[in-house]
Amino acid sequence: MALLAFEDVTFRYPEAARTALDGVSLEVEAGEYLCLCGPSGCGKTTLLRQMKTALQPAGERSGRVLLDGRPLDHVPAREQAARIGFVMQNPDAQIVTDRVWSELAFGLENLGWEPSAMRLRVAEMASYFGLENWFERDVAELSGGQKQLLNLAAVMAMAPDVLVLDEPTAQLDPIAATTFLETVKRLNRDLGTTVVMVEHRLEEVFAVADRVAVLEEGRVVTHGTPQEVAVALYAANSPLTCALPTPTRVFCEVKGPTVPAPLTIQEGRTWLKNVIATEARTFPSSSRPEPEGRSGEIFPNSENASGVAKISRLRALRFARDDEQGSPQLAVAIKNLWFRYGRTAPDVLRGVDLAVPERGIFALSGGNGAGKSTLLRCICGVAGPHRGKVVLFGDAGSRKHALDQGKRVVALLPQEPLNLFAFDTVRADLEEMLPHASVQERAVAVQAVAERCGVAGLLNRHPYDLSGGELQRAALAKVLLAHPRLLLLDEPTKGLDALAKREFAALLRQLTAEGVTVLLVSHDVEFCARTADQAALLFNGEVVASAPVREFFARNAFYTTAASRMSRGIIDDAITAGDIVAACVAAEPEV
Amino acid sequence: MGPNAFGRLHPAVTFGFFAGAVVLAVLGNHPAFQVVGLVAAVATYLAMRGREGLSFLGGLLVLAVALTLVNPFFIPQGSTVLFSYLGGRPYTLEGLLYGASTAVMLATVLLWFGCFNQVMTSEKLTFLFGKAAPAVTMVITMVLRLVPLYQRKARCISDARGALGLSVREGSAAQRVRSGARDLSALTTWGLESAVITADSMAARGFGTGRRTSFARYRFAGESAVVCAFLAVAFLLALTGVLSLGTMIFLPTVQLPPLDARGALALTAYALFLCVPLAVMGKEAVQWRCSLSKM
Repeated sequence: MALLAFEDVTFRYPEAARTALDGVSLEVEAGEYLCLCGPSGCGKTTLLRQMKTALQPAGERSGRVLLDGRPLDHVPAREQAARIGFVMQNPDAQIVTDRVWSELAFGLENLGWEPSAMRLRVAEMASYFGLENWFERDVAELSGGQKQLLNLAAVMAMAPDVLVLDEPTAQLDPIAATTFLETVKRLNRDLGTTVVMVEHRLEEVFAVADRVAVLEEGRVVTHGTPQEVAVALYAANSPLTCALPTPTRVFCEVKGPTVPAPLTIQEGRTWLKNVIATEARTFPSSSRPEPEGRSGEIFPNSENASGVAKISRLRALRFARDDEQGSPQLAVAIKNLWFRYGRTAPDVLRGVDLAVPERGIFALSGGNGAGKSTLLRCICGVAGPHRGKVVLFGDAGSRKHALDQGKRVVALLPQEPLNLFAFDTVRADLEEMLPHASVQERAVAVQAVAERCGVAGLLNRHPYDLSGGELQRAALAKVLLAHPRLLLLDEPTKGLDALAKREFAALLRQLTAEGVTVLLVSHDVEFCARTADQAALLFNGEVVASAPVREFFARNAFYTTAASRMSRGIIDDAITAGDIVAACVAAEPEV
Repeated sequence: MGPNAFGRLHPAVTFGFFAGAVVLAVLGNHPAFQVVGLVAAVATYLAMRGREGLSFLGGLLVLAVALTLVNPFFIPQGSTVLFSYLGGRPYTLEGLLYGASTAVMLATVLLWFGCFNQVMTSEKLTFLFGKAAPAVTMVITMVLRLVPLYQRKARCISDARGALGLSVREGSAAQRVRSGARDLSALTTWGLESAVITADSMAARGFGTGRRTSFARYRFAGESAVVCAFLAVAFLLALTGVLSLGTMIFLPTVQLPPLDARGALALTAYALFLCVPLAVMGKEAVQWRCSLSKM
């Protein structure tokens, strides 16, 4: 008997036009790791919330959810609380108390455990999750990743049979997300805890999940092993393919959707070595036909390059362009910038030197606490450095008169786009940016920017009801109404799925074509590699490297893209899946 | 010297001390008692906060001086007129002294609250009152967490919007007020949204499904018991002394009750009572030094 079973579950939100879930039947065996995926708005969260009576949304429901063969409605609330653990997206709001240890004990207190048993369990949890060092801390001092681990530990303290996770890494940086997902896998492997997870970070989840189910419009369209599902998605030409692991994507592009497709970098390298003979390492100066059809669409950024010949040509071109113009005007020039938050606080920025050329996308990456966000604050003038200066567009004083007839030289899209929104509709929020315009002008300007950012259909929605991608685009629209010449983006891909990232990248490209300079700071190596022209690494308050994006990522050994790690030593200078596909096609003409 | 040693005592003892200190500070308005109370509060606060405490003390000093100087404007009674204003309204010495006494009392109480915050974390309150009123305590715990959370979020929102020119620091007064109101509205929406998630998170972990226990980590023994007994005796002596001494009268003339033998005993008891946190913290510091020298 399955641990959890959905029997023909259909659900409709009150006054909704269509059903959110449509006849879902799914079984979850004890001990398995099931990943649910699907485009945003496909009913994943609604499905997860059916697994716990306390969290079930209001609406019309038919069909049954069974726990150990018993209908969930007949399972007492206390038993459900103990046996079904639930971790949600927002690391902050899920925490109830103010100390790490009291949070760990919270569930057990609710279940009425004896203090001595509770002490032992809390101690066990703290040791297992490595929380001993923060045990007495105030939860406010923890980073997002630590908070989410605490949420997981607090749920695991009750020793649930099944752990339900709703996009638990959406608000985390990639490194914290990997740590979190590894911990979940460890729980599954070491303790046999059943895992049901909604996740859009398929690169990592596909390598560890036992089974994957794909939801579309409230129906389960595919389910099976990660391999089967990956191949089926490719066969169906699903938009979800762009979220699949890089090795799988490269394989399916080159060989077509067949099993077994590699899921990890390690498998991918083995396969790639066989495809590319050693002598093909340096690329034939090929005049081969472009790879046909799909790869061009799926990897718009590969610029239908066929092999590195094209790549190097591109690079040469870029350098040549720089030479022609002499030194291009710099959007941002920073010399020896130092910053600290308090008189006696440690320096966050220690002598940053940075040159961001005009009209392009510049990506600044770096780990947690490297000072990325602080640097952005200095650039847009929210924070004042104690040594060094920021020169924007060659004019040292430009920040002083940043407000030039309602037009700003620089505007910042913050990490939490919701911080910008203060009204009940997106439209009202956009109109807020035009206080001096007439009603008509305002309507025209708002409509124009909304269409440009692809949010024209969302103008009457509440900002809190938007998906991650929609929200990011709406926030961009609001920021663009300030007409900045320099657009600063702080972690723009946080909470975005692969498709939304792609759309957002296209939008940024379009902006640079219109003359805007984009400076983004991000942990998201893949996004930087695909989107940016130039990249730099900030470490320990200093810029340690700055180069054109391909050179930058091809040179890095660890801090680089999956494609670069997969092809290192096999193909030179490949940094995106598209590059590898192009090289494979070049090396194996018969494919 | 940190607050740790005193904070390690049983929460009931810690709580009892602060309750006693505040009660005595409010009741005992004899200058001798006030001076003892203020000196002890300042010393304890500095011992707990170190250098960081100085800014709070500076703020308190300004507040106290302002309160003292303003008081005679509201209390025109008193026999010694220093000067008069607005066509004969008197500004009196008695009013000034009355103001000073009130200011010292207020400063003392505020300092004890400051110390209280250093030592009494929310889980100690939960531990003390959780059995009697579990729901209320839970709410108090959450509110204690929410206050700093809201402060941080408010700063994020005003920073983010400020960078777009939607700032409370730019534009005309009317624009600033409007921006402030919008920041507040953004904060409220965020707060409601978070509250829904928190409520879900609580429900998902079985809150309100029946009897609730408490993860108690405090034992009432050893040092706590000794300190508790000492505090109880000193408090009773000080309290009876304060009550028998009678209150000081400022208006229309200052009448200082004479400090007799009983009064002096009470004053000593009061001083000893207030020295307890310093003694506990000092004892630990000394023990630590000794243990270092033995190594």
